Amino acid sequence: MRMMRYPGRERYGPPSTMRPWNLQHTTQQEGGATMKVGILAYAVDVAALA
Amino acid sequence: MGFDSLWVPEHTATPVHGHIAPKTTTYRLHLEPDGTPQPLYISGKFVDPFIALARASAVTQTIKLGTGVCLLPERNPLLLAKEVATLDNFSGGRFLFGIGAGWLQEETELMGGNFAHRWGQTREAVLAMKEIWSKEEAEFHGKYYDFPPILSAFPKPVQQPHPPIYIGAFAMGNVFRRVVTYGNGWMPWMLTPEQIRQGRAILNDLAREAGRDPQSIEVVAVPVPAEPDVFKAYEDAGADGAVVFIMPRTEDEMVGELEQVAQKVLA
Repeated sequence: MRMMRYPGRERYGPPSTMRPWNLQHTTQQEGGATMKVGILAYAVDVAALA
Repeated sequence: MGFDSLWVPEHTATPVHGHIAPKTTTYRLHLEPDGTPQPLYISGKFVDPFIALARASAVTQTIKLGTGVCLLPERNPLLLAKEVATLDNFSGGRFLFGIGAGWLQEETELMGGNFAHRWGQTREAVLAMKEIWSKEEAEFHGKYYDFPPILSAFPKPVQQPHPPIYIGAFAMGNVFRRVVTYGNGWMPWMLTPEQIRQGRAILNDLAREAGRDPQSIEVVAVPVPAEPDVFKAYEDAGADGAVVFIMPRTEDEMVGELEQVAQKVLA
């Protein structure tokens, strides 16, 4: 098994739709963010990162 | 692709029957008739984070590898200190130690933790592990953990005095004091940019009071939707890092999601 199915995705949508993000303080600027960007994943064969 | 870190969450054993705070709400883990799991159901199927990260360390060279987060009251700190030291060595000093106290009372108690005093146990576990990571012979005498001089966790972590400790917790109670006292970062779950901004300000004040450089404390928001304007909002709020939650079902889907995220938010 390389991946675990998460059928809830169809029902609940991707994580970004699970919560009403507060964007009232959003500042639109040119260019991408400079924060460090990580990935949170579970039940995935992390060897797929190779 | 340019990602800084990979985080793997933890639930050791999710009870099928339990309570969600406030304790008047009960749940039973279940699948709907169409096979759809209730949201909590999936947490019972997490892989072990240390084995997953060890596997990831073998096939990567630079990406940092974190627990997001490891539930300390549910683990033996002596064993955990060794696992952390070993993983930090096997990964060449790339381990990030995300920790938490847990929120599911039945799970904490099932694993031998004291839910009412879970943050006290977490604090002692961290202090005990710091002794182990930094000393040839380590001993600790606390309320929850008490051990005589021991040899353990060799080789010691590559990152000295220890891998960075990110405390996963909401902006409640003593969380900020805990971060400043024994942590290297704050890793809150599902907070808005404004909540991050407020938390960052409190951390800065407490750090100065404690004689710490506020910049030595990182704030990592989890999870953050992979949208440039949302990322910018978190960055403006003072977050040092943002973690995107992906839920791929196949390897191809994982690669596709990673590429999409990278295209959207990696400069």
